[in-house]
Amino acid sequence: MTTTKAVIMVGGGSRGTRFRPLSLDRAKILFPIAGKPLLGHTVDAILEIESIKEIILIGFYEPSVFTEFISQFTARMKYTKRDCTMRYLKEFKALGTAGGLYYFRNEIMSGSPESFFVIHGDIVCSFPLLKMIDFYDEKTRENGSKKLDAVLMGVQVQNYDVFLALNDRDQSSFGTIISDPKSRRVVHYVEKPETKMSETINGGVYMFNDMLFKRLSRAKITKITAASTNPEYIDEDVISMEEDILENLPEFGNTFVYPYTGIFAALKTPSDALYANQLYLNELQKKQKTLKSELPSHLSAIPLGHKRSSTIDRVTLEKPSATIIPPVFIHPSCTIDKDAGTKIGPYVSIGPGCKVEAGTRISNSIILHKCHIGGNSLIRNSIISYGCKAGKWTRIEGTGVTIKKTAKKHAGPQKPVELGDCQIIGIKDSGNISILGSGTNVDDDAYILNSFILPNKNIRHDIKYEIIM
Amino acid sequence: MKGLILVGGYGTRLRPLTLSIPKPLVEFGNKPMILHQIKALADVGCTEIVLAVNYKPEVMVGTLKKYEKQYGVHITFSVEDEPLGTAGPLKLAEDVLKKDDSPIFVLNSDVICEYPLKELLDFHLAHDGEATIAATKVDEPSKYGVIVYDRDVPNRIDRFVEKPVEFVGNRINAGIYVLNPSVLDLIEMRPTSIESETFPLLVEKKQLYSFDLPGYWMDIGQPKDFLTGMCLYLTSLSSKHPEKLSKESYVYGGNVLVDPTAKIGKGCKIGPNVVIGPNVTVGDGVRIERSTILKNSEIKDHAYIKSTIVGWNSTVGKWARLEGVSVLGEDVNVRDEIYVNGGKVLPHKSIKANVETPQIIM
Repeated sequence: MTTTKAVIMVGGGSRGTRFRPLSLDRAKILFPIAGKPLLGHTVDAILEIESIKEIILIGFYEPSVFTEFISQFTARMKYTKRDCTMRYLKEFKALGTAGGLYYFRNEIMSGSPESFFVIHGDIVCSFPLLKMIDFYDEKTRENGSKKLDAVLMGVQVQNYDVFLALNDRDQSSFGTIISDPKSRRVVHYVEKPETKMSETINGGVYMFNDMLFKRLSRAKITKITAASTNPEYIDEDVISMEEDILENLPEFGNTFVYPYTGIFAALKTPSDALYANQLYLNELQKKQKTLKSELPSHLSAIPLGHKRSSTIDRVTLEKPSATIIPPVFIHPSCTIDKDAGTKIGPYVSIGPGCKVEAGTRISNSIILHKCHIGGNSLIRNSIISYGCKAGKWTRIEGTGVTIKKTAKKHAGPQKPVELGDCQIIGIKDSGNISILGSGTNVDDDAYILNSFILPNKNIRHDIKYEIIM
Repeated sequence: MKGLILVGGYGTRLRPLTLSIPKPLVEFGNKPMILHQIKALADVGCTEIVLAVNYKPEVMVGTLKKYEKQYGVHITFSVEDEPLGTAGPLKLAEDVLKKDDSPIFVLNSDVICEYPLKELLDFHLAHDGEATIAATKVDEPSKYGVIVYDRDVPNRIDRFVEKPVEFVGNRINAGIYVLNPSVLDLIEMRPTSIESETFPLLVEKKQLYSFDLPGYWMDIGQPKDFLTGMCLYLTSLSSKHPEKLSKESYVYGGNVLVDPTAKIGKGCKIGPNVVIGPNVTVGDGVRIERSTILKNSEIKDHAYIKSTIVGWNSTVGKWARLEGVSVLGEDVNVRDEIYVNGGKVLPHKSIKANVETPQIIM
């Protein structure tokens, strides 16, 4: 079985409202997390599969949004002699989470791929794609002659309540998958349930084949029928992956769930970006460590047939030092004055062309390109968009939230065992982080606490728990 | 001549500082508050000074013995068994105050000003009244007891109006008086108030005059006013004794008083209106404005301190930020990167989490 295509659902311009003020001047999906755009992490995970020849982005953004990303991708493929193309297909209107797949079915099926990936663009994950392919092949064999409908990536939630808190979602925000524990055959799927039925949730990564379009056609017919009787409330063009496809798949008995236990989050709000930054920096740090130890034999360490490609956009993290508490990404074009006890990290990403003056403290923050941070300043739990200037002795801070990690409770009353503090951002949409929109100037000595500043403002006074228009 | 300083209680309004030492010993402008008054009294020629206190003054005795020699004065304590108000202490110290016929100075220990006692004395001797009140101009007379003058005799007080609703004047009692010894005869030996009981008697006898106090005036009995008073004091110092203020390159905006034993790091920006006490260590890249740092404290690198009193032997961590009339008591430790806004921190506490809103840290 060869998988030659991947489709990334990138969403649409109008849907980025929850990501404001950061989405005011860039697409959420291109927001830099741990040294590259969120989309870049997904694309690089896909590129690790040698057989992938085409990546299709489907969404509702203006095509110009992706021009630079695609041209850089194309240049890199050419330079590394990797045979893979990328293109963006714009929906004529927002078509829901699966409407675009139906609309562009011919594009996706051109070249007749035996199977392909569909991935939601806003998820943060270590993408076990190679393992999913093996799982898909294994389940196909076990299923006899019958073609699979799909393999879903099911996120195995270790501690359900903490997971929901981490992702700032209540119980009902995820699709829940119930499967046979042995065969992993999906027996039930329910989107956004009100009660907890399983600790496996839909991770937004799927493997499909041409069967998908049969299911989509059926869903489309159902939609048209429903729309004809109720045209005011139902839009026949909009198809939901979760409600119109996944909820119906178990009845055919050919859908399996791949159990995934790694990092997982969805990027919905700005505070999610800080959490995503933590997760991806941790992943990069792990990868760099294993890369170092396994380098001589790394080719043989990869399963046969799925060779690791060298074409991915490598991000090099800073080495630990008196200034750096890892993991920290600082773009090589930055000027960091490491005198006077400058201390950066952990969980800091700094974009190209930034200047950080001496005696500055930065932790758990994202700073985009071309920012200038004055001396003796402190930045914590904050996102600084591009082209911002913070004066000397400024303090830009989000309080964040710390919850205690507790060991899993055993039967009977028991005191929870503390496993140390776990710094978590993303409990609330606002009120615990600070964000400077692009081109913000902050005067010397000013303090910004748990506030959002919209782009191009000049801040002369302390701002606490405010949104500055 | 003789002077009496009304010290009163321990100074609960200035807690948490006064949990460690009595208020008169809290340093204001790097000198114990009471010393500003003792020096002023000594300068005008007082040799006999009475401190009226209503607590056991053991802790103060040692300190004040030192100053007796330095200023050539004799200091006695008049200890009240029960609080005697503002007039009772004078009666209690009658023996000392009536030793001779020279006028008696009475100062409130909470008040800070330029102490023009010589001018006040000259004024007092020039009129025929028994007593003179120093008066200061205020912006909001409706908050105070306002002086109303006699229409016929300049500077003679006709009456007092407590918290006037209509404007009757903008001069108030500044808490500094000169009294002839005969005034003591008007006071009974019981808890009684000089403002509301003794002065009205003098007004009736047309014996009370008012002297316009030049320069600044402030009651520094609570932290907010302590800092405002500090600004006024430093501004006055910069015109009268500019040589006492620091001229180092780290000074920004002037009015910075640094004890010679304090150490200041590189790249600091200090001022305006900062007092740094003896043996204080200030690290590199520190920003301080409108604050007092009391002796033996340490301010670590990159800290930011604004409108704050840092108590003795305290430590402020790296990148910490203190503001909003925060007061650290003795031996308080603010950890690295912590923010404290308007926190009143009791002695020997360690602050490990941000204090975003003004509160008392027990």
